[in-house]
Amino acid sequence: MRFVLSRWSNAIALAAGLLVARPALAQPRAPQAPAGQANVTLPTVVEHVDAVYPPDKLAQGVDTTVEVLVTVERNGTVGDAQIAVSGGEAFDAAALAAVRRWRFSPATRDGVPIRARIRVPFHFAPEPHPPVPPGAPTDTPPPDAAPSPGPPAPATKPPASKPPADKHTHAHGEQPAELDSGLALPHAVAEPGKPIEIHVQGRPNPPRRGASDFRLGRAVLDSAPRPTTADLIKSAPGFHVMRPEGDAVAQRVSLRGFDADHGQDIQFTVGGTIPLNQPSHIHGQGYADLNVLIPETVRSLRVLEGVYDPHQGDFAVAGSVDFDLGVEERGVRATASYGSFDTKRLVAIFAPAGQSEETFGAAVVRTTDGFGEGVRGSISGGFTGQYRFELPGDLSALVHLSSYGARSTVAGVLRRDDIDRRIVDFYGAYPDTSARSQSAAATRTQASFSLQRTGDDGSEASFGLWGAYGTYRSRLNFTGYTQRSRLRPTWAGRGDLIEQSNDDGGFGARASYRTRRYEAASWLKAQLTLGADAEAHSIDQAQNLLEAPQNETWDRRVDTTVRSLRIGAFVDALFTFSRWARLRGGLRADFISFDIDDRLGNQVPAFREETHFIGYRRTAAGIAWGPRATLEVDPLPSLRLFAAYGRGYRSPQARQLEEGEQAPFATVHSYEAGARYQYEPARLSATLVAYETRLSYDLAFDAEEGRLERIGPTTRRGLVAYLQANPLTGFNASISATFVRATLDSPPPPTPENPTPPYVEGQSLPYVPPVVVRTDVSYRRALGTFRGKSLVARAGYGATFLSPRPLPYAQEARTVFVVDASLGLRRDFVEIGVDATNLFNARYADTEYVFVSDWRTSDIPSHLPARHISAGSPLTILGNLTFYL
Amino acid sequence: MRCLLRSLFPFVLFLAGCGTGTGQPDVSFPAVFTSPATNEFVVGDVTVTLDEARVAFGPAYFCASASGSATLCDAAVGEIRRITTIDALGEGETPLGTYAGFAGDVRSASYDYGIHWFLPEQEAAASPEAPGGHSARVRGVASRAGTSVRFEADIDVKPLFQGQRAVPTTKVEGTVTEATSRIEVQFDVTSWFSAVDFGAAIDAGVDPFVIGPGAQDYTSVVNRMVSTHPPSFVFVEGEAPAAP
Repeated sequence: MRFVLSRWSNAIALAAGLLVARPALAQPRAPQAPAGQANVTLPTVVEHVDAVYPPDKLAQGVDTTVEVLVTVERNGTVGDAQIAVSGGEAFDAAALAAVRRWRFSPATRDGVPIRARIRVPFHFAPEPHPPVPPGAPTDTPPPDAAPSPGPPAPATKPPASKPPADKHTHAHGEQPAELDSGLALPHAVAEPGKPIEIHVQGRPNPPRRGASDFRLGRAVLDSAPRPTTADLIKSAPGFHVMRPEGDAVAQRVSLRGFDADHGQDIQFTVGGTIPLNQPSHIHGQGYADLNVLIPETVRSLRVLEGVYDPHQGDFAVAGSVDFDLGVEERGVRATASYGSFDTKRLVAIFAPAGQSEETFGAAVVRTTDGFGEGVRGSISGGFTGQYRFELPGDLSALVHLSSYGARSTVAGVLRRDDIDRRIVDFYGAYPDTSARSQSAAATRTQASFSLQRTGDDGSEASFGLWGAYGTYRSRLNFTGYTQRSRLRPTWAGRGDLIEQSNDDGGFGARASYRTRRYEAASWLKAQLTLGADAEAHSIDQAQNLLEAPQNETWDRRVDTTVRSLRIGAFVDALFTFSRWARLRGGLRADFISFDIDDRLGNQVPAFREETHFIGYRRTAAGIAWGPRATLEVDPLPSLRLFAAYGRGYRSPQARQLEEGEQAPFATVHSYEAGARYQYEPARLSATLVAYETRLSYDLAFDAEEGRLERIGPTTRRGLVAYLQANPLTGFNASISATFVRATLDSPPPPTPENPTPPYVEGQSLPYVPPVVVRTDVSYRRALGTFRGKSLVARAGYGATFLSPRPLPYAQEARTVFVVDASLGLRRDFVEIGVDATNLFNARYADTEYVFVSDWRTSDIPSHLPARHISAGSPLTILGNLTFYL
Repeated sequence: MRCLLRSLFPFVLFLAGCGTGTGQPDVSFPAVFTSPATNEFVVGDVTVTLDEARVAFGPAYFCASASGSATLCDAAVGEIRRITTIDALGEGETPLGTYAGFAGDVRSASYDYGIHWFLPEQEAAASPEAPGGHSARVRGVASRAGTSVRFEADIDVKPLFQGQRAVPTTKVEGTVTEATSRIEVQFDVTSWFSAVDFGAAIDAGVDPFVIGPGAQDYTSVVNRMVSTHPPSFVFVEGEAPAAP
């Protein structure tokens, strides 16, 4: 939620800055020019466009000011805009790009429109800017902002320096009147003669909650091809993304020693408002399909690794990811792609000029045969639309709608020994009917409406509503022919084609209020945020065994309706002890309740006489608490030290709850200490973090059931190093290395069926790589001109290295090293490009499992757990043609 | 950059190797049948001499759970995936293939006598190793007070259900470690046929005396093979003993 506040604060800050002067309670009147300019009215802002904090500067936390001299034409358009006070090349460009799209009511003299020149300062702050009381000086950097390498913010009145005359010459041959600034939004009038402070924040940029609080802007995200939104998070330190079950099933993710599966350990949100994780999903708790977002519309990411922010809610166990949607380049863009495996993709984006970057519409369709033997084909389509607008009463509103659907065939997993014996090709699939009947289909539609109001004193109130409906169907066979019907035990050997379905309708709301900043003492300031959110879901889910190819049901495993309600509340405080030390933190609590109608519960075994009707309806509820705190200390202007602690939790899988059970949340304790160093001359920032997380119980994938099962408490300790630099204009590089030692503290309790589970105390957690190294490099520069138009080239790559992943039964997966690269050349409104994923055509297993299977590939079946793989994509090349209109 | 990566690579590999293992390590060692080498036994006042005793054995699956049945043991901890024709009267050892699995306790085993009903087969089938298409083929002579009759038995031990082993579970007490060098499988055909009423056969003067399906003697033999006198499984640590 907080993400949204800050994300919107760009527009709000603009209004707030203007309100600093003096809000008008009535309808605006034209501001008067200062004395000496009698009968002159100042220009009034009719339409404004937010300036964008340069994304590639986010990591550096630059806090700077740009002053722009703007000529307002008689028709209200901006005729000329020049930098009066530079804040750096990127910030100058951002300010100019914004102000050139402003529209004014012109200045007048004696009622006649005249050209006028005004001065507009833009203040770029990487983090929420402190409130600026009317008339107060603004040259004090925000206590919570990074040490400002740039010039101080302007004082109350900017210098009345006048640009040289030659720069004033306008094409119209008429000198504009020199006026002190006196801008006003339609709903507010600035005090004549007052300078206007325009505060521009990097979005989304809530205050950092630790050294592991990473922000990724488009400069990083554009470095390598990103076929899906899930691929965007590869650039965050410690992340690894896999897609073993095709395009219609959510990605699998691992992060810092957590096998987060389809999202069980990571809270995914859109704009801080819409949760993407689905509770009690049949295919995995916290299932989050990121395909609902179109990658081109993701403006930035906030990745918080660990649980240190009271805003983090359910599923924030390993961390959280918030997607900030926006389109920076305005206009219409259409990209057509074609390439390997008959892949076709068409994406169209409409971002009307003069509107906020958060206002856009985008649609995508994609079809592919997929690699291998044509068993990975998929077809999908998606739409995202957003509209940001202002409402009376200083309210800013955002409407969001996304819809997505996909269907794919699934190759399934292959036994390593069958590949080694050349029974099946590495990229192929078993010829078996059941294996060839694997498929998945999913849809999701989500909508939200958010309101935000920022007070003059820095207080902030926000409210949001959202609703989502998602469907999921998969038919997957991991194990071949091992299953036996539980309802009819003599039925066996019909193929383990597990059909899962999950229909989830959910809606929710969130609200928060942030107070103004109180000054308790000269050395102590405090600010408080109170918030709450709620979400309700109605979930119908089923799991059956099907016999291919007719898909006849031969066993029923799950037939359940789950209704859940979660209510969360938090208090979040900021204490600023001095310019050099801050303490953030608070407490969060979540209540969750489940009503489970398990229609196959209390089943009567086939060999016993029926004594009752099957079915087991039960309810459970529980409360989880989570204190979180972050201490920041700035011993040097370029060095910030962090220490953070937090307790987070994950709601349970409802079907596994008993009647009256106190909803056993999985709880996690996160600790970290780290440092962030910025070396501004080289535009370099470096982060080093040491962390530990302790999870009360972990889950691991159970191939037999195709879902997650408990394995016991776990601990992770590790180090993260992250380096980001853009020493040259257009050049951006980042590299991260994450090391983790993830161990099982105690194995799951023995059961009659499994008295010695395949886990032992102190063992490495399976499936998660101990070392993840990621590097992203991009370079963009103008090559010159061609037929009067400039040529701009871009190139970039992203490389991922994974050390061997531990597997159950002392097995070990192989090392993975994959490089994706992208090239492009743009002239005017046309760009041609080529994207290559897995550039060096590495043959690697996207995921590896160890379990028992029988695909009838040997005369005598094996009942030993064996290694299985899902092949990673080979070299894939897509050519792109983009039109910018 | 390349130099940097090259210098970092050993460090990364070192870090990657810092983790502990994941669960039981895998093991493999030979499986052998050790023959009691007895071809003569006495049942009451009847002396029985076996001329032929061939038994098909395998595959065998070993479980950590107390029951090795297909419904209670999803994953085996060890297995012998070979079907072998054993000459139970032969001296010395008969190789049964390789025991492959993981270290840990073994509490049960399930196995076939050459007739299997794997998933998704629609019915039980004899393997080529099954002597004459049967689980066991036994021939011999029963003698009492100078009177002898020849007898022959073709025993079929079939799985009762699809996907199960013919012997769904047998108790095993053993622990497999990385030091385990072999597993010894032993059964005594004479103990199985001790349940046969050879005296009645001699009294009846039937020669040869055929022990066939449906007969009480046949059922008794099958019961002994499956339930009361199943094979024993012994995990041996250290160096394997030299062949005699």
